[in-house]
Amino acid sequence: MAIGHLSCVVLCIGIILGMLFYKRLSGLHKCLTCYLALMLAVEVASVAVMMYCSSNLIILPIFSFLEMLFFVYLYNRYLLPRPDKLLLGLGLAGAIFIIAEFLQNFVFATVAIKDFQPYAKVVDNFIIVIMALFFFYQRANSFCETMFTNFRLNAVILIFFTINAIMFLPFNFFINDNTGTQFYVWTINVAVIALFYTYLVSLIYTCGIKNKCHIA
Amino acid sequence: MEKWQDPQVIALWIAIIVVLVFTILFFVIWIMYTGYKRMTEANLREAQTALEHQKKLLETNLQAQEKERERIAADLHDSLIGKLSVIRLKSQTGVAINDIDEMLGESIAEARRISHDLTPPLIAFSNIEDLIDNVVSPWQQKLNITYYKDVRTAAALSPEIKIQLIRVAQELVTNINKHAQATAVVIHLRHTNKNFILLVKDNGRGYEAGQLKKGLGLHSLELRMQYLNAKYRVTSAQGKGTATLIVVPAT
Repeated sequence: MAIGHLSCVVLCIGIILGMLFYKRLSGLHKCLTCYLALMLAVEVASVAVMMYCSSNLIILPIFSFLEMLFFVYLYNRYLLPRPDKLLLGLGLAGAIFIIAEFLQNFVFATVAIKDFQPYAKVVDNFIIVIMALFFFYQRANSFCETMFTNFRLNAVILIFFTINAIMFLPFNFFINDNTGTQFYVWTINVAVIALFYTYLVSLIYTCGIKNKCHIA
Repeated sequence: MEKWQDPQVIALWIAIIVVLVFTILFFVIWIMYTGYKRMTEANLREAQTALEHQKKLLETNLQAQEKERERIAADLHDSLIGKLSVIRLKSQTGVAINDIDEMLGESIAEARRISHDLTPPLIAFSNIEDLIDNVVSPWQQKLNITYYKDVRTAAALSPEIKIQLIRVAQELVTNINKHAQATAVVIHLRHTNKNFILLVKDNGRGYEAGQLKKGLGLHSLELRMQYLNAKYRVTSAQGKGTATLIVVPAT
């Protein structure tokens, strides 16, 4: 099995577990299951687009847009005690940037692959990193805090999206370089993605089977 | 030329990475700063609370001293001075020497009782179980006290510890007599190489733990426990009596 398919397998396991334990899951875990489903849909869509078109690069801004909206919702709905206007504004600004870049690259003009350098994914990751850091700040500042819930989940999100932001920044290099270097980096990227999804699946499993939904 | 080979694009990537790193660093420093500030504030508040508590204990100590002085003054005034005044009057009116001698004997006994009340005699040479027995004995009839002794060591406690334990026992028994409306009291004493344990339990009216307001007695108990570096616990429930457990390190 190619390492590229590893994340799909993990996603499928997560979605099946999420569906099996759906009634026993907390709101946050249901939301994480939906995220896994969204990621699987994006994977399937990218394969489908590749079958009919010469490239599936169009998926990248759509994926970034959906991922960013999802995390803005996740943080403001489940992780932060109340929705934060600053983060919502940041999410809106990110969404406008991604839409503008999408229109510029795919609607008003067709950019050649050698000139294709999107920043949508970087913006998406950057905003998620800021939300994760803001979450830490708010929790550290919350004086009546007796238990730092969702600490590990937030730390994993912070690490994953920081790595992701750095990985997706030199996108043009990865799609145009002929030396083969990019495959090593992509392999690491795919492994990191699979690990991230595995962690989310373990959270859903723990919540569903052991009924431990208040994660530390 | 492909986009990634463009120096401007590479410069932009470097700038983005720098911004990302600085954002993370900024947040980390910010979080550490606010966390440290909160921690310092919490420590300060805790120190203030401890200071206020110590102040309260000191006040209690002073009040207890005043109460003790009042009690001694009342003892001297009501019994000893009264008796001595009568002796003086009788000697002035020419009463027989035998009567005066008898009354002098009573006065000496009263003075001895007051003195023993202040500091038990031969405290350094008596063991703690006998000293507590002396405290308990006068109340035995009134409160139906059952006193168990379980001594597993020959080592003696220092006089400083003994006097404090006697005062604690006196305070607890007096409290039961004053407030508990108890019909039976169990006192369990265990003395081992490591600890001295005293459990005083009554079947009185008790009180709800939440409604407990520390009075002079409990503050005095706490002060003595602090002095002895001991631990104590008072458990009580409405209608189910009160139990006080104290554990004093024997060394």
